[in-house]
Amino acid sequence: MAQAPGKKILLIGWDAADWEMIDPLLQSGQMPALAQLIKGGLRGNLATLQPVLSPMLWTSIATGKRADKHGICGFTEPLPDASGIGPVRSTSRKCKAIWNILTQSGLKSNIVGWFATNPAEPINGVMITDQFLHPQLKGESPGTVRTESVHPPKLVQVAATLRVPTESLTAEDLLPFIPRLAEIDLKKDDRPLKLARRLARVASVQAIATALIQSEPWNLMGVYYDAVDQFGHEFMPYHPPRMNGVSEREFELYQEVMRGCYRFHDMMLHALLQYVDAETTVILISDHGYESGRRRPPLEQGKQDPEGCHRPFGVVCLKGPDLKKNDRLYGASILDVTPTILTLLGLPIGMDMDGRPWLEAFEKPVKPERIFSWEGIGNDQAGLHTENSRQDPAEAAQAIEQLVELGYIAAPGEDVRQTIRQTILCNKTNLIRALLGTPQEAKAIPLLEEILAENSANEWCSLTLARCQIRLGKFAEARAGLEALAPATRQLGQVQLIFADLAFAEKNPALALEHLQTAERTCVGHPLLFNQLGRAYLQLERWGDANAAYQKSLEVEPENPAAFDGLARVHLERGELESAVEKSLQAVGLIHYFPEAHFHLATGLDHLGKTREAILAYETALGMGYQTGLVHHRLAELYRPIDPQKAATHEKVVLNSRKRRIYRADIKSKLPQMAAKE
Amino acid sequence: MSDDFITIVSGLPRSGTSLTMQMLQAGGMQLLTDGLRAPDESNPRGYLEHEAVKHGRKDLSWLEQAGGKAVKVIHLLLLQLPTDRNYRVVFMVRNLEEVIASQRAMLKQQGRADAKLTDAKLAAVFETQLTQVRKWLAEHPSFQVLYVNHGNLIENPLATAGQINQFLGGNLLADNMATAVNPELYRQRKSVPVK
Repeated sequence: MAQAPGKKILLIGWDAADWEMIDPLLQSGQMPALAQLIKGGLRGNLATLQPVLSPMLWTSIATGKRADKHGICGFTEPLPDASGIGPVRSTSRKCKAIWNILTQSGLKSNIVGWFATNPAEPINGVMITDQFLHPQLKGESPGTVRTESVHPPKLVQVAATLRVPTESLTAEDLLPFIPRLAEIDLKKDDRPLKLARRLARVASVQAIATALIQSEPWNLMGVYYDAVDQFGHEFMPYHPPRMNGVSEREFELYQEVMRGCYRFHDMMLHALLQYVDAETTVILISDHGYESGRRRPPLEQGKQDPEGCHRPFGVVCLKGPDLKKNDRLYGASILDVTPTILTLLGLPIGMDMDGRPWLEAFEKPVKPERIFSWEGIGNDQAGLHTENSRQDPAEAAQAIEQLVELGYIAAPGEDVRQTIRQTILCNKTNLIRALLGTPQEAKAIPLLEEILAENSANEWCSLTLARCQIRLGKFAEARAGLEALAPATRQLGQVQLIFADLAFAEKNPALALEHLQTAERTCVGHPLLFNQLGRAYLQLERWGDANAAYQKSLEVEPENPAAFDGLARVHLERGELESAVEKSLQAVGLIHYFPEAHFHLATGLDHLGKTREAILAYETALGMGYQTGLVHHRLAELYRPIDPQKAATHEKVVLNSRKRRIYRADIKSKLPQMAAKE
Repeated sequence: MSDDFITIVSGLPRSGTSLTMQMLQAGGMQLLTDGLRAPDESNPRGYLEHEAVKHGRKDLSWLEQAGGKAVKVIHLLLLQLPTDRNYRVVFMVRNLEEVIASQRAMLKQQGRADAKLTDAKLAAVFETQLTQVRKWLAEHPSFQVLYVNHGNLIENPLATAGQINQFLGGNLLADNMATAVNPELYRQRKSVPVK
């Protein structure tokens, strides 16, 4: 086996893998390879990002950054010559991926099938892109080898010979998924053929990965499999229990497909693990989960809204010589994967990365180095595409549109122009969704205004703009926008929810409750509504009602960090401190980036007299931007007996903020006199 | 003129492609144009274009009539030409700030919309396109290319006409070609010398 010096990490991506599917299979011994991995390491939930769209998510995994920084905003983008649209390209990525950082650090990466990696970047190692493994394009002859999909070029033919053609699969290959295949008339039902195509693709990934893991040296081996998600979109409706709208015959024929799919992945995992030693760290992740039980959307709705089938938590499982054994990982996000890999390899983390390393997973304490950014340093040694080949596809399309307007290129058909415009709009909308609720939310406002300038009737944009304005304290603008809506629209549940947000922001919980009760008439059984009701009752000091609302929310959505945080607050108010801490831990265990929940956790611990834990939780809330005077005040109090210097620092912040408040109040009181003088 | 190759005048729109077509015509070369696009304020001597060319790979029938003639093909459409023929490409290069200013002025005169991008972003996109086209041309031996700087052409029309004539086989009247250059039409000139 070829060796690369230094540590090694095998990163395996199973798109859409979900513990709800995996756990029963683990319990019945049907995923032994994964069971071994879990036993020797840690497992946890992996929080996804919004929107739950795979190219954006896998790029966030590979960069440690959100879409506003990495620039991949959808499945498709305009082609460089604006003749149509095509799959999103690596040339559109605006920042370095982990394999670029490793390249400039002299380490080798072998990457197979990763989303949005085509054309292949000239990295130190091997890149077989997602497009290499896609079925042939229209007009492409069978067996066509796409040279831009492989780096280095010398491996093009080798990789091509490892592809598994759909035609090479036999009925026997499909039987583990469809045991009653013989009963299906393939002329009338093309689902087995669809399954065969997807199976061939994933088998190709496995064949190439198995070859590379042995033949090409690596420090990072990243292999991405899309089959769980792809199979899910076609066959999850037939998974037990039988859903409404699925006939008994279809259920009988296809109910084994998803279980077969997971078992097949376990076999592939087993095969790869044969080629790694105990010194290699193995990380298995999914970008999001997939509804498999009673919350599955109805058959037709699932087809029309594939994103609606995705659950907000994927899986993470890691095992390695530096990591804890048989343990749990809490509060992990897909943004953390790259910072964690860098830490494992002893490389610094960019402070512009949005994720954190999973330090709590390490057996011994580690203190990763940090640098301002990996961007802009060592670019010529990072295996990036040349500066001139990287471009923003929306900007490129606009430039082409200018050449069309100038009369030098014939206008593409109106259908093509419309498709391009739709794609640009869709990707812009995805970027806005990626920004919502993050510290960069203000960046969404000009994008929303741009869309509204072209189409003022875009309701989603109007409502989202109002939400952003409320969160950013622009209450008057938000109110003006909401009141400009038609009276019937204003009565809709989702609009009433925004009016409630505004009332909360203006510290009027009674009014918020009125809006929420109006919303209740149309938004039946929505967890967000219950959470907001809970919030209103909390502010109105109706603890029992608040408790009931949050419990209802959890009945609808059991993995619901906001509801757990709400319950923690109810328990805090009732003085039930142990329960409050337990609920807070459940909230931050689901989503680590949740400053308020860390603050409530800290408050519970503080009241329980658990000083060190409380300090840690207060510091975490502070680090996430929860900059209230109360946090500094409590930290000053807690540090006083153990670290007077730190206590003094926090006291100073409290004093300064008091001075600023007094100064502002003084200026405000003098303003009328000053205005009168002028 | 030899039928062995097709002469192509290319470059970004407003980089001097129409001027070069006029020079070739003055030098005695037959042009492949359909006369459909009328002269206007932006190009008072005419565009000398052929509409079918603008459809790229969707319509390549014009190639059958193009042997021994000169035809204008915008930079991006070069990538859509079949590589089983011989081409000699006179590729016009002009300062991007001037190109963009000229394009915006032309669109304004025609009352048409320009790209909603800053000049810097538009320049970056054009630069990327030009790099890709140059790379593609270098990779395909069926294309011989002469890059002609628009500023040099205006400053030294005779010398530049000589270079173009030599590149195209030396059968044109270089003096006549140079007379086609009218510096007064060079309106979007940068204040600094063009490199």
